[in-house]
Amino acid sequence: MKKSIYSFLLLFAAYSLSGQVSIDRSNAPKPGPARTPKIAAYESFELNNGLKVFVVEDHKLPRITMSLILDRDPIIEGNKAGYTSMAGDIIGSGTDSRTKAQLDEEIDFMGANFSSSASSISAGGLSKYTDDLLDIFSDVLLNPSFPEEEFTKLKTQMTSGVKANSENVDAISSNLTGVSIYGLEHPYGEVMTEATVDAITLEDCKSYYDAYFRPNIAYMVIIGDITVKEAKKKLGTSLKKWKRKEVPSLEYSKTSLPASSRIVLVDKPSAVQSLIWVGNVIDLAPGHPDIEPLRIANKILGGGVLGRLFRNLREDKAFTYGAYSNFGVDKLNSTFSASAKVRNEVTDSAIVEFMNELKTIRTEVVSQEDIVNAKSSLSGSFGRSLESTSSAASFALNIARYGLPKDYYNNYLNRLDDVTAEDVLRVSKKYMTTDNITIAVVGKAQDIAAKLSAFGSIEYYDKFGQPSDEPEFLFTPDGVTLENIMGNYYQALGGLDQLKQLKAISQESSIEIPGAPQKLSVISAKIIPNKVLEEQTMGSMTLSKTLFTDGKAEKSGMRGTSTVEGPELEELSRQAKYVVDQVGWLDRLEEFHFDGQTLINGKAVYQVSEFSNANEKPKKTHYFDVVTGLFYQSMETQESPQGDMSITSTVLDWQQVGGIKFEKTIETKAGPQTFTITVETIKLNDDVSSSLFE
Amino acid sequence: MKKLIMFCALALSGALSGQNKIDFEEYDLKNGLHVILHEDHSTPIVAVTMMYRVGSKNEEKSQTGFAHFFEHLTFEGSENIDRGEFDNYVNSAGGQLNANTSQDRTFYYELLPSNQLELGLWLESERMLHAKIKKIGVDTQREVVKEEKRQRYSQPYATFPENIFKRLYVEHPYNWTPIGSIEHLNSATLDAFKAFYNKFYLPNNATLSIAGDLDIAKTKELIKAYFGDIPEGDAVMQPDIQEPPLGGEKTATVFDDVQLPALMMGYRMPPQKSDDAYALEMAGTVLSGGASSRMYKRLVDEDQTAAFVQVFPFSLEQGGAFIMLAFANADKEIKDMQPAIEQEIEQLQNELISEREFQKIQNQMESAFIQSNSRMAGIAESLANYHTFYGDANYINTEIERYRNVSRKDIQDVAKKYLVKENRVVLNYLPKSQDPELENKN
Repeated sequence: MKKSIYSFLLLFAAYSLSGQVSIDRSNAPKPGPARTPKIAAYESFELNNGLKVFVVEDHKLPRITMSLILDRDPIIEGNKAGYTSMAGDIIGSGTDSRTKAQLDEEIDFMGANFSSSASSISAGGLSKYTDDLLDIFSDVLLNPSFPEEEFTKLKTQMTSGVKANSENVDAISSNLTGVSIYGLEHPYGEVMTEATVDAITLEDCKSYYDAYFRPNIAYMVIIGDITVKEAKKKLGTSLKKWKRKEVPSLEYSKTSLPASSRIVLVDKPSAVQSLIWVGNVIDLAPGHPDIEPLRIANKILGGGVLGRLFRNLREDKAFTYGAYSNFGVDKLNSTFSASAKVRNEVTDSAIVEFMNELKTIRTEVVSQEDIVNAKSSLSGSFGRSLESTSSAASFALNIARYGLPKDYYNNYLNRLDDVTAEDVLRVSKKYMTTDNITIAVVGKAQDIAAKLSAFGSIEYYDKFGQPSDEPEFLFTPDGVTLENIMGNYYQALGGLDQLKQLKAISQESSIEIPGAPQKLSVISAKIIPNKVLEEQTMGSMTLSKTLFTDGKAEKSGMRGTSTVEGPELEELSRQAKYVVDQVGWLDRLEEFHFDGQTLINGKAVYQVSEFSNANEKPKKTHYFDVVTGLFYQSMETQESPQGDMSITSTVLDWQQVGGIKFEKTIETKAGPQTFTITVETIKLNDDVSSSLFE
Repeated sequence: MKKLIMFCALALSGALSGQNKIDFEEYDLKNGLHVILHEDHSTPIVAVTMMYRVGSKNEEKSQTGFAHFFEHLTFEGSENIDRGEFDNYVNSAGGQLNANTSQDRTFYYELLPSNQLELGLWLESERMLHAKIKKIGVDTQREVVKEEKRQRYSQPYATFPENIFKRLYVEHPYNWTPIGSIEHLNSATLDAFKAFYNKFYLPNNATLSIAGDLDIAKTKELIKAYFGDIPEGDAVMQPDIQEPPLGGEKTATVFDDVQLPALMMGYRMPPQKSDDAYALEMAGTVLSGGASSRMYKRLVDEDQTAAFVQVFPFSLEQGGAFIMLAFANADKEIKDMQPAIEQEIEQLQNELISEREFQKIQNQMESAFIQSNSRMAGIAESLANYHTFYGDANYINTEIERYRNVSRKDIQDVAKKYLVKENRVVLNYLPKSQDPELENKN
């Protein structure tokens, strides 16, 4: 009796336990026991012609898909880039017994889908139509008619595609990264253009089909509501006429990293976001034991919403809608890369963050928590992928294509589990780089180029991966005037008051002249307000000497002595007024005009024109560095016996003397020649010897 | 005779089981939360989804973009979930999560290993009970949403839905699209965001739909524990706005960063539940369902004036837009395509489609329908969607009948009734280089 009451109570207790689930909101619930996901079974067989067939039976829904995949080496298409895709399209555009319109109608009538590409054909639909689908499939595969009319049509469509892609930032970026990592002469770097499409002939497509659509390099994958037995019988009948033939094999040398980091840019003037891609080539073939550690490293760095890139660039800084990293696995070469689309003004900051995160994962051991989370996340996504039986098929295909062990995918979770934090560090160092990285940006050069120059000298490309010139633009930034450009310049030099207080200067410079036996030495000196000297010597020989004192000037040299007059004299008297010539601009501001902001050698500069006569062309154009405020470059055109010659002087380096910045290295380009002027010594005020002017 | 009938019945039942009937259970909690459960043990995963009946059409004119903004904001955390931890829990459990917002609803989902079902319930109940609406989250997500908008609109032609809807609807909130106005997000106060949350994120305005490797009895208990105590709120009123007739064709030209000119047309549609909406969907398939469809065959294959054409009914709870897109082939212009498009529409109005064509589109519909329910995430979403907007979750098994009930005459009738000039917006997308204002500037 007691016993039965007990058991009654126990029953009740069990009942109430199951009826009243108690929860604790303050903590995440613990998981129950896990069920291991299973990879669907497959069977494979080979036809007499060498076609390898994989079948995954899946009778859950009355449908079927069949895909043919060619396993061939990559091909360089050269000046006909796009011809293999065209061949893929044209074979689906008519057979000996069916026009394109007939094919389309038959496929649509079954509610089926069908597609062909350079290295595949696939079809899918309800399994009640399996025979009809297979009939079309084999007809397209074995009897394409290559109709001229369809070829012309496809060519125009492909050209339309090229045009449409030329405005698509993702397509532009893909061209840019392919070219900058592999070069245009590589199967992974080739770019399709209107010209390459135009060069394709129908004959190219036919010979490609004849050479490569062969059973001995092909795999057929069938998934769905069909039995292996049925598949064998049906394929044996429909594809037995497909003839084998030796297929060309092609070899390529491995691509290596660039000697140093590069920054490449495609200008898209209308862009409001920059597409940033940072990455490098890697050598990681299918089946390599580094794949799992690198998957985990990538997961931690940028493999989704948990990744450091997403956390940093989106959730912390709100630079972007998403930032991710990625890598490829390929017999030849692939890349490790990180990318994001960010608003123009944070482009450089985002790159800095990318580099920081890459540096961190390459140098610091990841935490245990990071590695556990990454493993769970990856095994979870593996489990989810198995919801579709097509995963089992693609696993089987990879095992065959790449000669992987039969249990390669069954052991995937174990391999993942074995990865240690040290492995992650090792593969991060091996497959990611910060010193030989390529930074590829598609964006608005006007807004971003100046800041990007901080990462190195920018190489420009057009939308199709061809090198191009630095883009030209001139725009007026808000609130910038000639007065504040000059004000900033004086400030950057040391302050206008300080500049005005300077009384005298003398400097010795040397000029290297290409082809000349010796350096040219120059002494230039001034005493404010009425003495200027300029003397050029080579060795002990004086080449020329100009001396200005009290409103008069004389020039002496190897051709004797002459009096200086006219504009040249005016210029000298102007120079005598201030130690720094540009301070004198304030006395005649009306002769200057602020044109706008532009870009020179990747540097953002303000352009200021100088006029001697308002109705003429500017006699000189000056450029001031937007960031430092310093003078950067001046340009003028002079008449010469060979015609107009442009002379450009660029300040490459500055030096500080007595609290004031002076030019130190100046590069002058006159026509085809380049001189480098180095200011060796500078003396100021009382240190300037008045004997120089005697 | 009897035998024949028997045979037919057998064949019929065979056909039905071949279509993989989706079994499910559904019920309401006391607070009004609707629950739908579908059990399927083929893979050890489970999709936990929550559909809130709030989309951009529930927004005030001065608060556009709020619904979508909330889709971002509610991932910021809750009373028990620290900022940024929402994603963390799901990912480190081996799951995946995401959300999306339409004109009519906001949809959240977690796809989890089935032993983590309870985690999904906890997260969704936290989101519903007490999401964290804080300044830092608002400030961060506002910037993220701006980037989302920039990213989306940087794609060529991407502004077309906005450009169609703002002209197609004037009074109705379908006037704006879910991404909404950045200005509205910029100027909104924290209190306005809190009020929005309190108004719409209610059990009585949501459907919890779960599909996958689960035990129904046990799941019910857990659901009761996590959601049973969440207080019910005031009933959510759906907008009831009578949009006056469009009153004539509206045309506009958009200069975009594109090379190929494109013609984009939108016709006002009846509500998605109506018979006419189904007939229009069939009409869309006649026009562009596959390479043998009328519009594709005519413009892409025969005339070769278009590189690509697409017709799709963008149907919504209270209307929507029947959209036709045609992208000009290289060196062709809109005027080369438009007459053929008009002719194809007229033909649909003037003649019944052929029997063979009718059979073809029915087959296409059936094929799509049969193949549509293959993944747990999709099944959970469809069940919630059919319950919320069609009032019957079992539409997942029966909706095909709505298509089967459409006759050739119905297709002709809706073409006559809706695909008319007075009922449409026509957009000409042209390359920026053709913008006359740009010419003047240069």
